[in-house]
Amino acid sequence: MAQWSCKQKGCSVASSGRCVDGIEPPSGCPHIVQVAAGKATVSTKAAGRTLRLPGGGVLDFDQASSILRAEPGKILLVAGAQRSGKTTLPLAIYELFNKGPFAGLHFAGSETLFAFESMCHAARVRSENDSPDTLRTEFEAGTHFLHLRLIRDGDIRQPFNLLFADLSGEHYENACNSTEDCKKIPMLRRADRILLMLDGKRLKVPAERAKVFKEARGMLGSALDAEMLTASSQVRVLFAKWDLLADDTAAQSSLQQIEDRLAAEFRSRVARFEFAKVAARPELPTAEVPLGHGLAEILGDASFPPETPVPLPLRLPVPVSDRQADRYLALRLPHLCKEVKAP
Amino acid sequence: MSTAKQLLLMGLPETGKTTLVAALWHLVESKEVERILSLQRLEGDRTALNQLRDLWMNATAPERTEQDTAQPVVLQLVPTAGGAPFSLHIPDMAGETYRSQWVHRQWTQEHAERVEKADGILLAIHTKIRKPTLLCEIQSAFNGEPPQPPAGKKTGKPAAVRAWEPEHASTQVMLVDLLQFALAARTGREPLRVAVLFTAWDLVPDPVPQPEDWLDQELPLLAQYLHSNAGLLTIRCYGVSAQGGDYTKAAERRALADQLLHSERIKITGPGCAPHDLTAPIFWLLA
Repeated sequence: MAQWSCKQKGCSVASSGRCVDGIEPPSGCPHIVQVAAGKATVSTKAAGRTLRLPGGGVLDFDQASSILRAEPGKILLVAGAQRSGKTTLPLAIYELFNKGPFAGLHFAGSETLFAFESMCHAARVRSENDSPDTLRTEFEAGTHFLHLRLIRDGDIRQPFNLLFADLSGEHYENACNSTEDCKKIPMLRRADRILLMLDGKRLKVPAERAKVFKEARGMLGSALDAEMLTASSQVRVLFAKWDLLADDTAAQSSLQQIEDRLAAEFRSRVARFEFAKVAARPELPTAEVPLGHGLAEILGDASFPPETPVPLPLRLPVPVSDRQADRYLALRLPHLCKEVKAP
Repeated sequence: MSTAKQLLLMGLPETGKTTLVAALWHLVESKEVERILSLQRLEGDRTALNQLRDLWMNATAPERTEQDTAQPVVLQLVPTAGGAPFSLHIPDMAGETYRSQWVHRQWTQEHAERVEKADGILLAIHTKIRKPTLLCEIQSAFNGEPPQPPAGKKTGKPAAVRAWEPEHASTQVMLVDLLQFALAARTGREPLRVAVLFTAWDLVPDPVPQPEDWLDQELPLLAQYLHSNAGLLTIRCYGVSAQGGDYTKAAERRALADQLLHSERIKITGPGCAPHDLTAPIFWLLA
């Protein structure tokens, strides 16, 4: 069995063990996914007595699924235009747990520590970067996950898992413009929370505000019309990079209009439709807008109430016959079922 | 006939694992100070152990333990206050072995078996730890201006961004992953006891906190992980100075080497510990 799999075109890491970008070891590449999660697996390449350990890279669909089968958890899909801060959001949450408990939650483990560390690097002093950056991660349509296992204050009996997927800027733009393209993003339907990032840097520029609003409206409209978002969906629109907007009263007035209009159009069509102001990693953290500003609310919301494990992925609808057991299934899990007409 | 107990001495490179083994051997063999565990009898070839001890008594740093050459240290011990004797196996694993687990994501079959069989873990963590600093926090401290290079250093052309390497990860993140590997390798057992030994404890500046408080302050991610997995891990924290001082300072080194009762060089603070008793964490691990 190969250790690695990579989503990049032309990368033969699965067969050769070499990363197409020359990253050594390949596990440091953010595009890579580990093939085996959890237990060590026996290597076929290395010496016979060497066992491979979990790779620590981003998880694929099946690995995320196995986590959710074992323990309660939620999938948070972060959607937004390019450079809107989608990847920075989970990385900032990880950095905050590196400093201590956060939002009444405590770190209890992660299957993706290696990925977190490599992706956080460009925002750390050790990178010798002039200014903070985030390694871009355009992971197709929300099919790769960063993982955190957490507990609530003092309650070690009920660990739960958060799996962060992000929707690439390209997929976001396609979804904004096309209902058909939106249908190609099954994670929109499966995610427990949709976090829609509106880029504060663009919102600060008057000429860009209408475009940002149009994109968000297009995305939500497409997703609802494509039935990728439904009456049970939970959506939170995030005004990201709030540190750039906190003192800009003119911009805030426009944001209120955007909020009012989006709420008027979409709030009644989903289970929850809320807004938040976040600055995951402010350019200059202050007492008013510190590191992780607004993220406590998002995490707190995502961590409660505990939900029963739901395995991923949800496959094809289950045919429902007139049998009582099937009827019961249709009643309890209607989204999984489809009616079958009597012959 | 004594039972066999196995401990895993875990730690990243240069955390003082070999010094701990040398000091432990001297402590139980010399009988100089109060201790919970005593040597029951001498057994087998002790050449390597005695060489390590000689270096330690001369206040000389041991050579770094090479990867894959570790031989288990076997001590025949018995509780000083009475009780069943046991043979204690402690492989003096190279720190490189553990760093390699993080970097290369693999371990040997032998090591997997050691982890599976271990009755407890001695986790050595040097008090000099690597913590990441965020660029935005530094810039915030400098009111938005990037810190200026030291006088004399050339400026102008921006430096290339340094590529990430797994070794750049912080100490606590590596340790969390190592513990995750260890827990994943064990199935259906009682909670694993972990004695966290903060080595070079004498270097912690005043006011010196309790070791468990130091864990919370300095290694918060690791602390959360250990506390959050209380159903799988039971921990106790100890502050240990096994060298007794700084070998790089000539006068201090001479004073250490000239000491009559070398066991008194060992300082340990933690629950149920006499001041020099390095066997206390082991006794707790095996209780």
